[in-house]
Order: sequence, then C-alpha cells, then structure tokens
Amino acid sequence: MALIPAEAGIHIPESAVRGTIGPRFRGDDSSVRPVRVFRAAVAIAGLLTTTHAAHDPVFRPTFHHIAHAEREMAVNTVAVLGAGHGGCAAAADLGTRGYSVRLHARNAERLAPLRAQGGIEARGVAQGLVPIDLMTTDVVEAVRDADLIMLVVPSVAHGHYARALAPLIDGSQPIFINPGHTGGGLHFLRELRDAGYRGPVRSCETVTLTYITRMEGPALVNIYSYTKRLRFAALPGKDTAALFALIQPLYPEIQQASSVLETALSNLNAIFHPQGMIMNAGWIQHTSGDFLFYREGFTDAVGRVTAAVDAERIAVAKALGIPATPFIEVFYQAGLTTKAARDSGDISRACLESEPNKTIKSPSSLNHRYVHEDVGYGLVPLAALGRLAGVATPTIDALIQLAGLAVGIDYTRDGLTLERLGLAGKSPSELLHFVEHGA
Amino acid sequence: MRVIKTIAIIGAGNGGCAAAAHLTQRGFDIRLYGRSAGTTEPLRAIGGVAYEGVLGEGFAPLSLITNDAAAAIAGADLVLIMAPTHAHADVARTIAPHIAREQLVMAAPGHTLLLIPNAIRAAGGRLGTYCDSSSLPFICRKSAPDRIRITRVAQILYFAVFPGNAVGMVAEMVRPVFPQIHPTPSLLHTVFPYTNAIHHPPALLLNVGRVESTGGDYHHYYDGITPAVGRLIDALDAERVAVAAALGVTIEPLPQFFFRMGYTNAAGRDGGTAYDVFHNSEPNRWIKAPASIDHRFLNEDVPYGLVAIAELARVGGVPTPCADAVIDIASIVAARPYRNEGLTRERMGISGMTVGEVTELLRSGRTREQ
Repeated sequence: MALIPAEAGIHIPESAVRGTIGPRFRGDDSSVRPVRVFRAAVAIAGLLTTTHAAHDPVFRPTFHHIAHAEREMAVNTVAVLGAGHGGCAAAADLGTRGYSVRLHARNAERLAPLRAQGGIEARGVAQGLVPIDLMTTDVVEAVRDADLIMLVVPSVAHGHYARALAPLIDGSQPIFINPGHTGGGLHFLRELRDAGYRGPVRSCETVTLTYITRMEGPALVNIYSYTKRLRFAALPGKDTAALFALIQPLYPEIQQASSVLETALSNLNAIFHPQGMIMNAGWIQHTSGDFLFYREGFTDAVGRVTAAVDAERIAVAKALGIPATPFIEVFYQAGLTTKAARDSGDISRACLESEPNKTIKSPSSLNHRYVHEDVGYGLVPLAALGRLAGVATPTIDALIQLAGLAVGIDYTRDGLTLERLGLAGKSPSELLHFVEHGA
Repeated sequence: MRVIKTIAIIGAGNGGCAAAAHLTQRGFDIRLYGRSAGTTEPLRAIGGVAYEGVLGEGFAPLSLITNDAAAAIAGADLVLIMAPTHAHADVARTIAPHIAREQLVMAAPGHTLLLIPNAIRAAGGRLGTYCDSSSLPFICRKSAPDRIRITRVAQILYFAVFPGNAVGMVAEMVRPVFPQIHPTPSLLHTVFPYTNAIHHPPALLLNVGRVESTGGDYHHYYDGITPAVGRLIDALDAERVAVAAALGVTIEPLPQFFFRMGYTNAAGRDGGTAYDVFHNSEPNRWIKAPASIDHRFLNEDVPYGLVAIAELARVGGVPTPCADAVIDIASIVAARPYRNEGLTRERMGISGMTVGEVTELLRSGRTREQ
C-alpha cells in the first residue's frame, strides 16, 4: 500500500486535519479503504485554513456524540504514549502521514530537544523535520479525545501508564499496545483493574514494535522499515476484527491473529535473545560485546538451546490449541535466512546465514532489553502459560534462572507471572474464555 | 594395623603417573595398572615414569607396569584408584574380582559416595574398607607419554572412610602415604569440597559462544569469569553450602576454601565473591579456556559434581534452582543427559533414604534394618 508521505512530499498541517469530519464522511461505504478516506481527509485539510480546529466545538464531536460503530471508522488523532525509539518513530511516521499526534513522555528532559526544534527529525521511511501537534508530560492532555491511545513503551512501563490512564478512560477509546510482546494486554488490563478501573477495556496489541527503528540523536529517529507480517490481536478477542480494521490503515503490515495468546506465543525475540545473551554473558562483559551477535554468538550449542526453547513454546501453544509456527520457519519467511538453512532445521546455521543480521554487533552490556524485556516479559509469561496449560518448560525455566542470576534480578518475581497477567488460578478453558471476553 | 608398603595404582593417566612418581620417591613399592597398552607401553619401555616439576626432575622405577589388574593388585596393601570420576564404575568392575578383604581400597579423588564400594560388591568383589579423598592430590599433566610434570602437591586432602567409624585407624594407615590428609566423619564430607563443580560449568556455560567461535582463545578465569559469571558461581556455592548443612556437613564457602588451598590471596578471600576470588588467583591467571565445549568442565563436573549436589539436595529437602538450571542447560549444550549419566542417588547408593538413614549407613556401614 502506497504511503502518504511518498506521494505527498509536502508538509501537511496536522492541526488542520484534527477534528475535520473528512474521514467520517465515509458513512456506510465500507468498501472504501481507510487510507483512501484518509487521503481525502488530507485533501480537505489542505483546503482548510490552519485554524486550530480542536478549539472549535463544531469540529470537535466527542465520543458521546457519535455512534460507537461510526467512531471506529477511522483514526485521526493518536495519543502516542512514550517518546523513546518506538514512540518517536510512531510520532514521526504518523505525523508525516497526516495523523494528528500527541506525544507523551514521562519526563520533560526527554521532550526538551524535540520542543527545541519543534518536532522530530526523521530519516528513513519518514524524512525531514516532522512537527508534532502536542508534546506533553501530561497524560490527561495527551489522551483527551484521541481516537486511539497507543502505548509505545517498554513493558516495564505498562504498570505506570495503566495507573495514569485508569482515571481517564471510559472504554470508548481503543488502546493499542505497540508492542505487547507476551501478555502485554493481559498485564495492562490487570494493572488497570488493580488501579481501580472497572469499566470496559478494548485493547489490542502487536507482538513486536511496528517499526525497525533507532534514535540516532536526542531528537533524531531513523525508521529503517515497518515490521513485516506482524501478528495483531485484541483483548477481548471478540474485538479483534473491529480493531484490526481500525489499526490496519495505520499499519498495513499487521495480520490478524486468533487471540492475544497467539501473539504472545509468537514472540520470537523471547525465544531467541535470552540464550544469545546468557550463553555469551562472559564474552559480552569482557569485551563490551565486541563480537557479531548472530554470526559468532549463535554457535551450535546456542542453537541447540534455542531449538529446545522453541519446542517448549510450541508445546505450550499446542496444549492451548493456539497455532504456532517453528522458529526457523518464521525466520525464513521473514526473509532472515536462506532456504537451505531452513531446510536443514539447524538454528545455528540459520543465524550464520542471516544476511540482514550479518553485521549486527552484540549488545555491549547485559543490562539490555534482550534480557530485561525478553526474559521478564517474554520467557516468564511463556513459562507461566506453560504452567497454566500443564506443560513443563524446563529449558525456559532454566534460562530465566540463569538470566536472573547473571544480572541480579529475580525475574520469577519481577517478570510477568500468572498473577501479574491476571491469570492466577485459571484453568486452560477459563483462560481461553478470558482472552475472548475479557472477563 | 597393617603397614602400607606395596601400592597398586589403578590408572596410568596424569594422576596415576604423578602418584607413581611421588610415592616411589617416598619409598613405596609401586605397581602401575593401565587399561590400555597405548598408555602403559611408553612407561614399560623405560621401566617407570620420568618426572619434573615441584618434586624435582628424575626417574621413578616401578616394580610393575601392567594391563593385568590381577597382577597389579595381588598382595598389594593399598589399591589406589587414580581415575576420573566418570571412570569410577568401570574401574570398580575391573578390580572387583581381584581384591581381597584385607586390602584397603582408596579413590583419589573419590567424592562419588558409595559408587565404588557398591559397584565392587555388585560385581562380587570382597571389599573390606574403602576410603577416598575430595580431590586429586596433585596438579599435574603428562608432558610426554612417559613423563609427568607435577606443578603442585595439594596441601590439604579431605579424607573419609567407609564405614566412617573406622576413620581413626584407617587415617593412621594412610597418613604415611598422604601426610596431608584431613580426616572427616564420613564420605559425605569429601563430596562437598569438590569446588570444580560450582565454578567450571558456569564459567563454560556463560561463555559457550566464545568457546565455540574462538576455540577457547581467551583466559578461562581472568577473562571468562566476569561479574555475571561470578554471581552465578556465588549462587551455586550458596546452594552447595546449604545442601551440605542439610546433611549435617559444615563446609567453607568458596572464598575461604580457595584462600586456604592457596588458590587466591587475601583480597580474593575478603572480597567475598567468586569474581574477587578468581581475579586474585595468581595460579590461574594464564590458564586458557577449553578449546571445545566437549570438555571435562562439563562432561565431568556437571554429572559428577552438580548432579550429585542436586541429588543430595533432594535427600535434604533443599531447593537447588541454580544447580538445576545449569544442569539442564549444560545437558542441552552438550547433547548429553547429564542428570541420568551422573551421580544419581541410586548410583551413590542412597536411593530412597532419609538424611538420618544416609548418615547411619555412612557411619556404620549398615542400613538400619541390618
């Protein structure tokens, strides 16, 4: 799908877009693809003055004024919560494409360099200085009347945002957890409940971030590409189709999964990064990661451990009736390795023959998301689901243990346990019911 | 009390040759048994073993060098097993038909609990008294097929006897052979000082990629034992100490033990962590890493070290999550079922027993029913 910036090549004043009724003219013509509607909106916006429409009550229908179905026809205004790599990439990308973006960071220092230049400097998929409508440390301001709340923060920050959002939401605004890794939505829901929110929640999530991106300066983000074939599901699962339709115009690469359990169980970073870090922990610490992570770090033995972890993941999925594709197959399908390597079934070889990963260096420290996130919010919830499903996960358990010892963090306590996923005491059938209905 | 004059050394590898040289030098009559002619032939060609290192340089003539266990053992006062732990069961079966009840059998190192006594008896051997040490008495390596280089003689050898109640008398017999023995109440006490078990496997496991990618081109201790690896070793040491305590055995933590053995200095001991211990370990400074993961640091120290600790922990009702994690990942890394291959409670001869029953058996040589 062609993207707006490529053909527009001009800066669109997003404030003009916000609050226009363009997308909502779509009416019942469901055959109109959202992005085309969106282009129409951009065209209309171009004809409008740059009046700050948000202050004009005529152009500011609230969610209580429009019907639920109509509300979800398209997203105009996105509250991007989090201004790290992913948050800045999303703000720059969506801003370039004509969405109205409110960018939230927890501390003002993070926003200072962005404010100084009036937005985000982008490279890659988006180019140039992208003005951001609103940059704020106030969550209230960020989410007010946003069509979509997008949470783009490390999993460890989900609890913080749940507590901040609990008094602000009423269930009408969908929440997109980008990414949810393994169990992000379940964890977020649980945190909302713990924070006292009792109303409906409509969240959705992708397994990994929608971008391959890196901040290359305090206010400069390089978006290398969109993540391809990204699994997407909603919690409760019954909302998946509707939320998929809502989010797909923003991220055409997303693919509907059967449930958040399928996205959870397709978190390949979790079954891949931890042993790469743990079984090279000495090398990483002694040389500050002066080796090629995939080509040199994933030797035969590390490949064998990966295969064992993958087999446990697939066993958990099978026990819960969730589709799961073997790691090496996914790796191949994502264009990350050769067909010969895939056919050999040898994970070490697949890493060795991974052209896109050929020159990737190891992280310079164990204090890295490959451990904190991929163990605490990857392997730990995976093991938890295994426990719930009655499937033993000895290799995963052992890696959690070793990772925790290596970095001095008890992931079995601090990671996403069954309790923190809100699943303690549930049977497999109760789990499946819960992810479908959210209660 | 029988005075030891003639010693049959079983095993002609590094340890066996070092013992042959050292004990010949000290006036014992030594017969050396090796399983393969390939090992014994170079020694037989010169009628003994050449030696160098801390014992000086010289030649130790041996009264017999043989592949015939019966010939080596017949009439010996002490049958001294000098074999790696993974060979203990085979060695026991080899010597079983030839030993007499009045011969003392010693394994150095042993630390395999009742593996050897039970294997000898299971093979019909008439075993009298058995004893073992917690480690090899030497740091040594063959510099040629007929030459042993001894770089260190251990200053302390924890020593235990089965049955434990005979330790006083047996220690007196053995002291002329190994003056550095430190008698302990039972075989359990020689199991736990096996510290290789808690530092070799984690140091290798957390450097697997480096070993395989570089062929071990780094220093095993100084480069390989980083703070993260050190934390894992500390955790394993804490489990070792806790399991020992649950079985009534008080042992020194690694820093104190290594200091006393001369493997680390006061800074290493007082730092209190394994990282400090190994970064103040002058004897280990230049030791290179294994060239391959197919190495005794895993193949021996996991099944005969960590597995034993984990199995004894089950007797004592102590959790060992760290040891279990290392065993499980090491088994995948090496593609070997270390937990089954290793010192299970059954192989140690204590299957189904409580702490009290194990203690009683090791003390008296009898189970309570007997």
